[in-house]
Amino acid sequence: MFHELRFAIRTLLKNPGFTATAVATLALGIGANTAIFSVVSSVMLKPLPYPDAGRLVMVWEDNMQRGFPQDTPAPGNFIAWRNQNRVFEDMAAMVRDSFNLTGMGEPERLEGLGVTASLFPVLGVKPALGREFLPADDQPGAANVVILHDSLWQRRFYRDPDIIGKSIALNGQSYRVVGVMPRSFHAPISDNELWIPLPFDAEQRENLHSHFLFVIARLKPGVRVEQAQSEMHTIARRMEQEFPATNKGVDAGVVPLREQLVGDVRTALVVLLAAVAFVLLIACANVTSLLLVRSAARQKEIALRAALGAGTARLARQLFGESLLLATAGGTAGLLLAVWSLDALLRFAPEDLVFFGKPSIDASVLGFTALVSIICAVIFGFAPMLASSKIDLHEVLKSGGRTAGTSGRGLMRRTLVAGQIALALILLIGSGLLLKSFSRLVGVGPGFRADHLLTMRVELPDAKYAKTEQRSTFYRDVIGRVDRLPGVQSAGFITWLPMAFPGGSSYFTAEGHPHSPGDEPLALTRQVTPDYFRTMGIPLRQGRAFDAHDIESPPEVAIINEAMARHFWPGEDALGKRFKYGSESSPRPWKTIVGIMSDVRQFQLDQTPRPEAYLPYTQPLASFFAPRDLVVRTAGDPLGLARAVRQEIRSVDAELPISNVQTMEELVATTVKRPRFNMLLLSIFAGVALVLAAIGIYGLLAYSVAHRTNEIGIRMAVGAARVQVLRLVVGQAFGLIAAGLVIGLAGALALTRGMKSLLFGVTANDTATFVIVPVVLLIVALASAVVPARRATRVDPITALRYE
Amino acid sequence: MTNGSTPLIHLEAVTKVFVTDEVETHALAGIHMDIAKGEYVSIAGPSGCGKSTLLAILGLLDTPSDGTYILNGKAVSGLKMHERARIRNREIGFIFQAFNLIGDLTVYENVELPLTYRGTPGSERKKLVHEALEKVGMSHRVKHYPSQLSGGQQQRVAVARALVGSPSVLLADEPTGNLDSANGDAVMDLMRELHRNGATIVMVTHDPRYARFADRGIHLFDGRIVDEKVEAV
Ligand SMILES: Nc1ncnc2c1ncn2[C@@H]1O[C@H](COP(=O)(O)OP(=O)(O)O)[C@@H](O)[C@H]1O
Ligand SMILES: [Mg+2]
Repeated sequence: MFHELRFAIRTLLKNPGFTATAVATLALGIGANTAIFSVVSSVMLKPLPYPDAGRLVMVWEDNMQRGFPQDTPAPGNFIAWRNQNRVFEDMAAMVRDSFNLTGMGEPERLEGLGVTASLFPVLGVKPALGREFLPADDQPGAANVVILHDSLWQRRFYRDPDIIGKSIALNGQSYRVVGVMPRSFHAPISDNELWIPLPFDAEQRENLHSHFLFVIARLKPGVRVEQAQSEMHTIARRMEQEFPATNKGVDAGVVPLREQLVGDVRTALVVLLAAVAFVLLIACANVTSLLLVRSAARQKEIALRAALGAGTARLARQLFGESLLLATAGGTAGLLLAVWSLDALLRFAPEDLVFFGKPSIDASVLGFTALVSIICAVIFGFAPMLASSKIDLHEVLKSGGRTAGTSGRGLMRRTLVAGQIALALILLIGSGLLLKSFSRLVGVGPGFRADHLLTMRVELPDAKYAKTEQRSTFYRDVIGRVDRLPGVQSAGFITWLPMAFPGGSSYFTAEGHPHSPGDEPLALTRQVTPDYFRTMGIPLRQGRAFDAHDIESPPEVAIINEAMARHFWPGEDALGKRFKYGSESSPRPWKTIVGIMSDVRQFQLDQTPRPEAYLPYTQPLASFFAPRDLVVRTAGDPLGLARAVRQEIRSVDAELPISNVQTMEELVATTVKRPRFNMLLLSIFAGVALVLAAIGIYGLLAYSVAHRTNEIGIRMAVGAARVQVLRLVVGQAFGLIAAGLVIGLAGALALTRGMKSLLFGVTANDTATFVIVPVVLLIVALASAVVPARRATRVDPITALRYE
Repeated sequence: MTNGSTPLIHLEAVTKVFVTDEVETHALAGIHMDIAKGEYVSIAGPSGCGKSTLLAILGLLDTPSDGTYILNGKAVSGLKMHERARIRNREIGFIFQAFNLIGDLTVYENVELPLTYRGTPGSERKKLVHEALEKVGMSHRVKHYPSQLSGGQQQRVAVARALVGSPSVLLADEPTGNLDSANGDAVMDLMRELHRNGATIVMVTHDPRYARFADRGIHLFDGRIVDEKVEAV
């Protein structure tokens, strides 16, 4: 083998052009595969960072009737589930919370979780420092304790080894640090930097109507997910019978944690993986083609070796040695390409791809790359071997009479090229669909004017801003100051800006449309300052905006969106109608609708607007709904005013942390990050495929023209005009291209169906895409045929016919 | 010199100079020549004296560097590419030493080729191809590929291809060069037969036996006509 390898190295080095082309082609294909595989491996294959993570499941309320198949459970349900089940070792509940860290320099807003003491045991993780929460910690009335994440400990406490036992100020209250979680720890629902206990008092333990918990559980050893599901189903049934008012139609759903985390991205990753596999196949086809050309050129050498007694095995070894060498070089270059491109790729990646640590080139990825390279070597080493085994020694070695022509090998290369075109077409159609879908998506008007808007978040801590009046004063002061800043046109506060928070809805009852208890409809609830609508550029459809009277001596008024008007007062004039929160019999006041605003997209551009009610910020409401998002319309660059606006907030309350400073356009863009990522990657791969396929066509025709000069000369001698020669070559290409396109269309029709869930506003068999893309590919393919075809027309018949 | 009033082919002071790597090769140095319709002319001379070049110019595969070429009363030296292709197609039939059949086409398709380029309708094409193959005695091999034929058979197919479109002149460049003497004789008999039926033939050959079949023998040396004799048949 060693001898063959040395010879292979020598042959490859002697043909630097061939070698470079082949290695570069392979590097592209293998590099793309390596990069995507590293993502797939980190998201789908690597074990989750918890011991025995296969036994971890998320448990949801399944409230299909109201359109929430995965609703966050209410505390009462969680308690019941936890007490009654026999399938879980334990269950834990979490609630998202944010904290203002004060009392030590710059205030900072931190994302944290309130968790039951069972969380860390359920996950099977222990703090690096100190202790985890004890059952006593999440009892009502227990002392305030907190566990920090390594990153927070590092960033704000400089890895103070004596941190345990010290107190820190969160939301104006003192918490004692009892533990520090290791750097490698990530909570399953979101990346957090601190955890506090989540106690349920007597009232909460009965609460079946507020749904806000995330519930995770660990299966007992040997219990299957289906068993757990059926057990939870039984418990939910029981609850439904016992508490019909709240639990009617509320089932429980069990989802393995991995599936929960990966579910949404799986389709995208599978599509991308298929895409890079196609790219690799196309690359392999090009290299195979190159090798075939070379083996044709080397026929004499091979025949001579065979005539001198080299056995088939020996010849095969030599050819395979070369392929393997090429694949190794290509694989190495591809690996470098992947390392280099992975960072760029991850910059565009949506958060859920990097949730459990950044994808990296690790041992499993290296193994994958090696395997892929070997597979490549087998794929393209096989063809020349097959070709060489068919060489007719006598035919090759004898000299003499000549006829111009090609052999069966031409057929093999033509098949390869048609296959490349088919694969490229599938990729191009896939990316065309994503492209169209993406443009549809960003073409959706959000319902407001996103340009020239600066946004930021200021959370008012309950301790300091307990009363509605206190909060109202703050908003008034801030708006007054910000409004006076030069360059500011207007400013407003709202509970959550569109696209900023996927929740915040309440049950309500429209007057005259009573519902049986438990069946009340939901509407998003937002409190706003009066200039909010003008600042956002949300048009008023009917009635009026809030006026000074609504603000100062708050009558029970509300503005609703068109979706709510349409949905609950169909065919009626919603203006002047009344609704109240809760059931008809609830003690809450009726609110009169004074205006109807145009719809905005509240969560995602691709989600139709939900019913939404806006209330004046001065109306007393749970502090959960207190405005926290500030939006400012600016004359110039919004971010240019960020400093000045922050300064004004500081001067009202220096203790308040300000976070999420960004433009509204950036906020909207984050909601399309995932489709953009898919679209971008698939487009890149389709582009690479297109180029490789074009090279394939060019290579085939250039070779065939060079090979057929004699034939072309003959045709010219008997009177073929230039156009006829051109037609000959382009016609040959056209047949291939047409065959490739037909196969590709069929393949695309079958495969793009799998992309359905990635598409918005375009069907998986969108006619325009299926017509335009093949035409584009046809044009590119014909264009790459033109150069060799023109070369053919310049063949000089005398030179071509002079015997060699 | 000739026996007709207007010759089919008239060459006047035709020269051909090849320039390669600054070296000038004077392949033809002032050729004057008339060939009448129905004549059978053989061209002989040592290797490299310009025979093939002369034939290529006659066949409009190449252009003279200087001089006049009148074919069928029409000056053809200055024609455009597509007009030259048209004349090659209609007026000229080429026969090469190396047969030059297209390996991917059957015997039938090879012979059909000039008619295809001419745009002859299918039914007529079929008739003409069969007639031509009949003439050369190859009509039993229409579906064969060139590689399945012997050299002599291939050359007969090449002759059929040359004459299928009833060209004004058949140009043959050492048509027996790659054949053994039996096959060579057969091809030469065929040429004689064609000539007797009225074909105009210009043939390059080394072989004095074959040269004698011609009405007229032209001897080239260093790109010039050095001798010309009319056979007393
Ligand atoms: N394309 C060409 N470029 C340069 N020299 C050529 C070319 N074709 C022919 N020649 C030269 O012209 C001379 C005549 O060639 P040719 O007509 O082929 O001779 P013949 O057929 O009599 O053997 C030779 O010296 C040959 O080398
Ligand atoms: Mg010659």
